Amino acid sequence: MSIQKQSFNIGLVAAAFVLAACGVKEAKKSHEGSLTLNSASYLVVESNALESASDSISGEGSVVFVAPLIEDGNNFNLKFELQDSGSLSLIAGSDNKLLQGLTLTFSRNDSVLSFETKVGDTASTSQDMGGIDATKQIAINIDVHNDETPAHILVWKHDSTEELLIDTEESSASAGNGQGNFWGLALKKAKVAVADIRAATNEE
Amino acid sequence: MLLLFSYPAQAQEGITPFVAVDMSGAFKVDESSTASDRFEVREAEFSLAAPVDHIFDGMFSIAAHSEGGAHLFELHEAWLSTTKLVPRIQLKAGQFFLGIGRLNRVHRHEWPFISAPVVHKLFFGDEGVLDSGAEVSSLLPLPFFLELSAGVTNGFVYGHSHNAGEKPRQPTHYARLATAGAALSSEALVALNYLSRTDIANERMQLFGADFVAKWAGGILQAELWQRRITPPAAKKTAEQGAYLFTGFNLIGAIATGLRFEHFSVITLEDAFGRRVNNNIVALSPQVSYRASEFAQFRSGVIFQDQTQENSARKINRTFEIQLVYIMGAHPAHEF
Amino acid sequence: MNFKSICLFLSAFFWTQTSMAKVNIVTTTSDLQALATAVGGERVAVDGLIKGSQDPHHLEAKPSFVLKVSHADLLVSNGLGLEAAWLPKVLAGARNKNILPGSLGHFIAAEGITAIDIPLTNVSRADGDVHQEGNPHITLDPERVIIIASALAIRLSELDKDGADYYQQRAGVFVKEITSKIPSWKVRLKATGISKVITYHKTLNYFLTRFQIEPAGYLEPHPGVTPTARHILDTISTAKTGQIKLILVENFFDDTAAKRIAAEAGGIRIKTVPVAVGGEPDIQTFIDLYERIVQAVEGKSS
Repeated sequence: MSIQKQSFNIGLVAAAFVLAACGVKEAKKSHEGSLTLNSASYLVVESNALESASDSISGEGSVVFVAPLIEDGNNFNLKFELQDSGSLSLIAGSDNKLLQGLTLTFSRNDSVLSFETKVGDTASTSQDMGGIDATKQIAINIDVHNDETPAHILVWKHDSTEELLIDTEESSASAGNGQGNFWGLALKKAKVAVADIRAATNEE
Repeated sequence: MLLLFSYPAQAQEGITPFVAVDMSGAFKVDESSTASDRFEVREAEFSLAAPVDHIFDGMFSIAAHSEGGAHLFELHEAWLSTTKLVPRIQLKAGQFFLGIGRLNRVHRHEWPFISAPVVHKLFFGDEGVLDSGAEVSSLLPLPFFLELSAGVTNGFVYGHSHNAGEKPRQPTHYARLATAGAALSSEALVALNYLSRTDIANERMQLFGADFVAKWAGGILQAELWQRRITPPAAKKTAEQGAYLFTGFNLIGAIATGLRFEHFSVITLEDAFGRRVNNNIVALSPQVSYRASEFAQFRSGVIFQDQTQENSARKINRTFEIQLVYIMGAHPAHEF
Repeated sequence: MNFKSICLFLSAFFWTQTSMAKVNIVTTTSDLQALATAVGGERVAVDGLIKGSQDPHHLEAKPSFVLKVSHADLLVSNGLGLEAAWLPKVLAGARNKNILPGSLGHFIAAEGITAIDIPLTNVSRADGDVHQEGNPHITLDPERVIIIASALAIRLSELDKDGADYYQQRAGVFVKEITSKIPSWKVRLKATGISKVITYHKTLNYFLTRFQIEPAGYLEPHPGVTPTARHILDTISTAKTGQIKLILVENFFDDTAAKRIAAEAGGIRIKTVPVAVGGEPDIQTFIDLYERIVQAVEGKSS
């Protein structure tokens, strides 16, 4: 083989390595630059003018958080605003495409906030959440105990009163259980400022 | 509940009644702890054991557990057993703790530590798995100890549940193979276990485990290792694995000390990208016990638990525990 | 070799095997193991669960116990609650219906024996580890051991009819050996002048009562409860007023409390004694055992 040909081959191989390295770097970049809310990375599952900022997610669309759920019982801390006819759904225990999960939907109609749950085609009866002004920013804590059948859901006001707003054991408002171990949000004319998770306190 | 019988009548029928009370408390050592900060009667159990007739023996127990501060009595165990029908075979039928593992076969007030290890809590519940069915066990006719047990139970529910559950596709079924040996003044028993159940949604759960216990004068070494595999009908299989190792020995007089090490991990945990997520729960729990007699003892200990998951905040949980156990009446002989 | 010869050979072979098959005996205590060996001789294979140096009250139902009992033709237990903490679990685990209580294959030594130290009122656990039916340590009395040996010979004869004469003869030899020694033990013990003794537990009461020595007190405040400071003081007082000269401590108990009492009361000998056959390496028979206890009272070194 001539020196020129050897040099060409070496160059070709080197270029391939460089390209491959760049390509890997490129792929890594897409993970490193992932979207975050309160330091939790998320992926966009659906978007219809969904806006992702460092301190909020707004508009219409859905996101799934990258880190999986480890506990059967989780506590979600949400702070969000809804436009009239807007809604925010918390999907707990889904797969990474937000399917097969337990959907908890908070909907605004004028100043009234209502709540319903859904698993697949099974939905609970919608109930109004008294004590919440849906025109203002809503701050709530939600326990989802997915190890009970159906999942036991509790919703509290996240303020000094910590008023219990929903207990699905009392209202039979839980549609079932999530089958996966991811969670996410589905927004419609909504803006989410805080979406936090920690293990739920043991009920017993 | 009012029980009316006199001592002479009991003696004539061969009935041995006993009560076991297990009181425990868990308290926060720091803000990270999820302890309830409450001391209460965790369980109060009333039991009767007696020969039913010349063939069968019976066992009946009810227990009150603390649930959200209220104590509800419920049926614990009610079963009939015999070793007189088929040579070398024990038959048992009724409601009972499944004959699998080490902790699941022993009543909680007889455990060598205060609370359930993480792997037991997650796979068997805070106490153990109770169900109704039948179990057969045999000490095989060999010159060495080899015991084989197998059972089938309804499987409508698994774990501590107050609802009736739904008929599973495959009922709970399990098997255990145990062998034992002695050396010097110590004796050890090791067993392999398997359990499976397929629920109404066609989700199959399998448990594979090994348990070990060795005892010598004034000392004990006990361990269990479990892996649980869940195969949902239309999703990825998940696998979790956990173990604990406990060692205890007498210090002086009626005072003993012990140390439990635990590990737990969800082996198949992946993030939304499908990348493996490293996760571990590790715990170290020292304890000290005062055993006034075999019928009354006091224990205290601390749990240092560290939970880590890639790209998630580390969770440290430090909890101080105490326990008081007492037994009244003629408690049956203890398990090895 | 024709067919007839083969048949004869096989018949003879199996007949000898049957004849040579020993009665498999498992005993709970080492005393009962020695007794079963003495009575059963070459026609039995005897295995004991407990060593002579172990306290029979506080044991667990070990897998090795379960295995041995599962193969037994005859289980010999003491009774009177001595094995109540663990034997039921062993029997359940063994799954051997031939040796369950009430069957021919379960011999309880205490049956037919008159017990002592039977509580006059109903007792509770506040009184310690008290046996409602009486003191279970019956094998410490040579006269009662003789009765047990005879009863065991009868039971073995029921299980192994071909060996009836053999068992009766061996039991007779055993009884003669023991009864020949009793008069000399009585004389020697009387000569010591010891009429009262303090012991750790009630293990020796049958022996002491047989030879007219009064159990004057115990180091345990209640059976099964380790000596407390308060009780030690009370026992020192008892020793002084009762002019006690001897404390006997069973060799699986600690003698610290005995030493304290002896130091405070003065003029008291302490002897640690085996209380079971096999309790020490050179205690191989009942005669060895009773002789050792007599020597302890006499003050002779072992």
